Amino acid sequence: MIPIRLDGLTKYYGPHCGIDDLTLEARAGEVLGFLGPNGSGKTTTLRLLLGFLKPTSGEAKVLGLDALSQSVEIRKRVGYLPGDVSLYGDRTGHELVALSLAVRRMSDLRIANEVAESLDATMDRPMKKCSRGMRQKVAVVLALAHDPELLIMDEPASGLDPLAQRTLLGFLRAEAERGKTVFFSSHVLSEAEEICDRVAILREGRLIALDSIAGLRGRKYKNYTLAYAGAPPDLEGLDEVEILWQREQRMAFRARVDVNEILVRLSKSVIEDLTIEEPSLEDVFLDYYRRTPS
Amino acid sequence: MRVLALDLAKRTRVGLLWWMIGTVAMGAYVVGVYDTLGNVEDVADFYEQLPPALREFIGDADISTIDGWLQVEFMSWVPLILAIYGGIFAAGSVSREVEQRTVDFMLALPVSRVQFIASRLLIGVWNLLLMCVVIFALMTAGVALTGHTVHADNYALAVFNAFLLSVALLAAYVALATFVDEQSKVTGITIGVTLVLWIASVALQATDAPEVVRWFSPFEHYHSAEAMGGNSVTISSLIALGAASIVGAGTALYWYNRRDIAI
Repeated sequence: MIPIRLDGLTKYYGPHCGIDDLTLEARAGEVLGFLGPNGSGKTTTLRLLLGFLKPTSGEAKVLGLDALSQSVEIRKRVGYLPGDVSLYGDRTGHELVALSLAVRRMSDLRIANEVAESLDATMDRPMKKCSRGMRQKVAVVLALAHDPELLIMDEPASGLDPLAQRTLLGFLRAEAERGKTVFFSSHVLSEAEEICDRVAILREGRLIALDSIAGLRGRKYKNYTLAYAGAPPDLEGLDEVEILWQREQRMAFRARVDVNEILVRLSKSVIEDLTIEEPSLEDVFLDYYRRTPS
Repeated sequence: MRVLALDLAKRTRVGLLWWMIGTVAMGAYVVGVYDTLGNVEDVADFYEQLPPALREFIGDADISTIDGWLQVEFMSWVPLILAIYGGIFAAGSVSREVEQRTVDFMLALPVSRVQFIASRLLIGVWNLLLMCVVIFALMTAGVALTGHTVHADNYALAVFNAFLLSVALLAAYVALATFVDEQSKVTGITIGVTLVLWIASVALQATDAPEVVRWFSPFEHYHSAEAMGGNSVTISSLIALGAASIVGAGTALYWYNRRDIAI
């Protein structure tokens, strides 16, 4: 069973495009990152998956069920963390977990307690007296408390301190290794880089890339940093080479061409030091945004 | 849905308690003050001098009796109190959930939107029922404690009529709240609408507006004066209020199930 399948999913808010013709699948047991800047359609997609929104056209299936007509069944089996969490101010984390489990006719607090402990979440204080980060931790506990098959999370690490972020990301990775699927949106690329098997990149509601982190990097350029003696290496005539900086017998450039072609050119100069690096996901992401026409 | 309803009941209990305290205080004052009136007949004369439309509106009752006094000074105001409570309840339990984004938590649970709105309607009706029971108990106990004859069946019919009217308005206000996601806006609109309908009923009576026009004002279907005076209440009014409740609730359930919950 495919945990998430979107087929031509489109959502317009009046004349404004939320997402347009989005087609993708999340595989069982993977962490799929959903990347894009604010307003690119990430939250719209997640809300369509939970049945909060009705698509203008297209179809979304979650755990093999129709996201719109079978959303109650879906929500039994999915852990959802909304973006910009808001919880009842007069309720404690314990009370909210109890409510969430009661609706599901469950009472086992073991998982909730484990997650709360690992995130160091304060569960016995009313939400109105908790910091934003603490509320986010409680919301994560709520999303995980019923041991869902699939996790759909909207910027899960938002508002968390670095330690809690690390714990959460490790937790999500571990959940995926237990066979669960994690689909989460973010605009913090280092998060995706750390735990995602694949990432989807959205721009203005359209999917512009979907690949593994390695695949995305491999499709793209490499970064070269070198020190040379005498004349600088001649890179003229090579397509898609961009010099980033050059000073004091050192230079850095990025190139999309085959590494062997670069090495042939460099061998004609006196190279004292050379580093070839894969681009970071952030570089890849920015490159997509620069190159893909809107 | 039971869990949702109980949760909402728990969250609204403090607010409900304060409304009850206010209503009980008002009723207790009205009951208590009756025997302190120096000359009830003078008050009755004053009442007779009021414009007929106003007298009809607050209940063409004999205020030289305690039941007439209760009707004029208390029961004629009860639907206004209940209707305003209904508006505030609808704004707080439906619009506020979207405005403050707590609806995301609620609708992330495996509950349908129909169950969500039905739980709001159910607890709204339950809270109104509790207020009505307290009003009935207050009148019955108050009249008995002051040594007058208790006409419990009359009070029950008047309170029942007020209950039906407030349920119809609650359903309409919950329906409105499913369209408007701002709590303050819904609170303002519902209180405003309640007052306008209230005043419009007076105006329609004062101007001898045709029956068919007056029929559309919900307060026209409130007949506490007849009930408190021992007369029967027009059955068509009770049916109209019941039908209006069903239409309001149906609209709320239908629209909330169709709309986007976009934040």
